[in-house]
Amino acid sequence: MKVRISIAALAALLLVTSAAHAQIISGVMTVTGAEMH
Amino acid sequence: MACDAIARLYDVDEDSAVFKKLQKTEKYDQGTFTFRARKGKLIDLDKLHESVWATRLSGGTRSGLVSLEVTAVGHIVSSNGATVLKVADSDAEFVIDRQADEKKADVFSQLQNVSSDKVVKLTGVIDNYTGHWPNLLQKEPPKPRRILVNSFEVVERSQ
Repeated sequence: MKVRISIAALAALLLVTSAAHAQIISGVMTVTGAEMH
Repeated sequence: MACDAIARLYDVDEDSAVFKKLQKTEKYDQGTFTFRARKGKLIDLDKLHESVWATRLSGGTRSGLVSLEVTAVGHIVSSNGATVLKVADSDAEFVIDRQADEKKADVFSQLQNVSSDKVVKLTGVIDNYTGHWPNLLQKEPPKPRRILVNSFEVVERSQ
């Protein structure tokens, strides 16, 4: 699987810390396919 | 990978992030990625969506999201005929609905009887949030998001 991570996009997301619209305390994501490898 | 991107989110407790392979099938296996918010924080599903999108997962594979189960805390209110969870310590809200499964559908009926002054912690699956990468990520999820409730409990505190 080709995966290209945008470091700039991730960094921007990590810096945004407002919780005004935050919603959940935990999650369980079930994934399948090539994502597994 | 999507799971790595979520684990890096500021509000996610990185130590809580656990990936587990389910080995349900031989070729296209399934796995679960469990995560929780840092103490005193909440995770924003919009940021979660954007962070996975930022990984630019390629198409042409059969990889994707099977489901996203979430746990949220807040007050249950009735609004325009809908059952709504107003999230504690946030201005966010979810529309809550019943699962198709009869046993779990009863949970929804019980939830509707909870007084709005009680704090509930409920767990359920985000409705209609499933599909292959990256198609799933190209569209904004409808808001407010709908949770098909699996279980809930009345709690003393918001977290």
